[in-house]
Amino acid sequence: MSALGSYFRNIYEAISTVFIGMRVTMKYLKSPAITLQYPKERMVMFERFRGLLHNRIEDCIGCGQCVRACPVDCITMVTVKVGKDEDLGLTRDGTPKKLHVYQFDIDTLKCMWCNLCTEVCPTECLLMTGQYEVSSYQRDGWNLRFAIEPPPPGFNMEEARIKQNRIANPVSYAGPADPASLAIPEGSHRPISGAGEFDWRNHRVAELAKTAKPHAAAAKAPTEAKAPAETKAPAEATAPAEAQAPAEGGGA
Amino acid sequence: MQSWIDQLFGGTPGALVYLTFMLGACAATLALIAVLGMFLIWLERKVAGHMQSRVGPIEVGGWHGWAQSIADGFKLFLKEDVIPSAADQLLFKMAPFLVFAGSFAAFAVLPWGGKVVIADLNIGIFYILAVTSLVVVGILMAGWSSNNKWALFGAMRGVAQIVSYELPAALSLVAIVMWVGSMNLGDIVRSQAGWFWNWHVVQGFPFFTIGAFIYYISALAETNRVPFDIPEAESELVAGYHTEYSGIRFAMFFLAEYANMFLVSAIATIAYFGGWYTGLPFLDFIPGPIVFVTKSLLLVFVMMWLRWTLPRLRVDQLMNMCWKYMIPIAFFNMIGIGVVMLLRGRA
Repeated sequence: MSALGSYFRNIYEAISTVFIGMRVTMKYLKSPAITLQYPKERMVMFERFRGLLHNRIEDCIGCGQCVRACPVDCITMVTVKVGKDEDLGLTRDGTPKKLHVYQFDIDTLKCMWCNLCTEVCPTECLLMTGQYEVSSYQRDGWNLRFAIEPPPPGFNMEEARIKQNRIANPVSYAGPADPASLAIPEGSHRPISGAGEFDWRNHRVAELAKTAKPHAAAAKAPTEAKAPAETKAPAEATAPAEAQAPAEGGGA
Repeated sequence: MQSWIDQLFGGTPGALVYLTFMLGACAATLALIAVLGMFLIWLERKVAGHMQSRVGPIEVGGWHGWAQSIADGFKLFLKEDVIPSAADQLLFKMAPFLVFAGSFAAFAVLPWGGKVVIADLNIGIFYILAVTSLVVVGILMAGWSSNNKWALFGAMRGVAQIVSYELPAALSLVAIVMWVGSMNLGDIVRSQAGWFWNWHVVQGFPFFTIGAFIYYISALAETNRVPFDIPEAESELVAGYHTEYSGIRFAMFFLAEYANMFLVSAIATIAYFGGWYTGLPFLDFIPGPIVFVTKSLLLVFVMMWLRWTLPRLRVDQLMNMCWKYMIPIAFFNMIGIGVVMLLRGRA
């Protein structure tokens, strides 16, 4: 191409490509924004998101499997066997509760979000929520307390904790948790499966409850207010341990 | 304006009255520039946001963050005015105000409407070209006195660029002056009265159409806008000549940049796009200033549009474009207009 030809070709290309670019940006100007206005809108977490741990304490049997499973020892638990004439009732899936849970603390600062504790949990009470806003102004804010039952007067929590938790730096008992703080925050909790309506966690528990063989004690005294509606107490009495069996390998 | 005051008082009032009116006009223009500047900064951020699939400022003031610029302005006013210890104090302090004064002074001759003009100079276009050169001096002062290598690089690039691009800009305006036979901005607009095909951009097809392009591109370069923002070039030179500035002085640079954007768009409107005329005679009941500002803002919007479309030119590409393309075409244009005038017997 001659020098003059390339001169005019340059001009033509410069102008035409600018117009092509301007068409693209105008298209984007008219298209809606794709950004999330964070404090006002929150991202919907996907189903298997590993957010803050939450223990539904009314379903916790205090078995301590989560404490043993935790690779970083972030769970501190203090339990005491029930007395002979005591009955703590059943969990949602029909497992009898045989231990008082006086302390159930999760130190979020240590937690590595491995999800092992929720996998071993036999009653599906320990779960990972979709809550990802974990900042706090106080160090205490990261210690999640779940036990709501206060220890009996004169009970030495410190001694029991040291005896029961052979873990590095266990968390000292700081009193029972405020039940109101145990509610999973609205909106930030995992919306459970695409539709946002389906509660996969409770669904799993309900599935377990269908196959559960209820506890003999429950058959004798089916008046516990704690027993949820779906846990029907049939008459036949079977071994209580069987109720836990299907729950293994549950969780995520 | 002087004649208007004389008419108002039915005679020649004392110098004090003139002075009062002049200061009033100054204050009004200053307020207008401040409001326009803040509006344009907000608009730029909104346009930038939406072109990048964001939303831009959205919180301050409620409706689409309209008060964002006001909040930012307050913040800048209250911030510490840091002056580097190794800076040339006097030049450093003066530079932003000189830059602002350059674009502020040019607003004096803009014809906002048929009779709305502060100083109806008969050399209006010449005055604008002359007085906006102060901006170059201010930029060089800022870059030099900062005693900072980024600032100096920015200033040198800026001066080289602005001086180069003043040539094609002036040459394309000279063609307009030849055609109209007057340097008065009001006369230039009046020669485009009536339908929009009387606008110079259509009236002088193809020469003025090309001229409008050349003027607009040169104006982009003179205001250091993308794709000619190499004096600021934030990825290379921190912030160019205003690297060391903070607080109110930085605000002055910022305001001057946006005032300049409006100014060059206003000149393009006056010279090529019919000034305060709507281009449709049956719409001429609309007040001139509204038409004029709307047209200018549209051209400013195109500047923003270009900013978020084009990448920055290299220094050699910039000079190449100016000296090898813009200036020869501008000269060709000027000669072409001369030939057309001879043929039509306008000379």
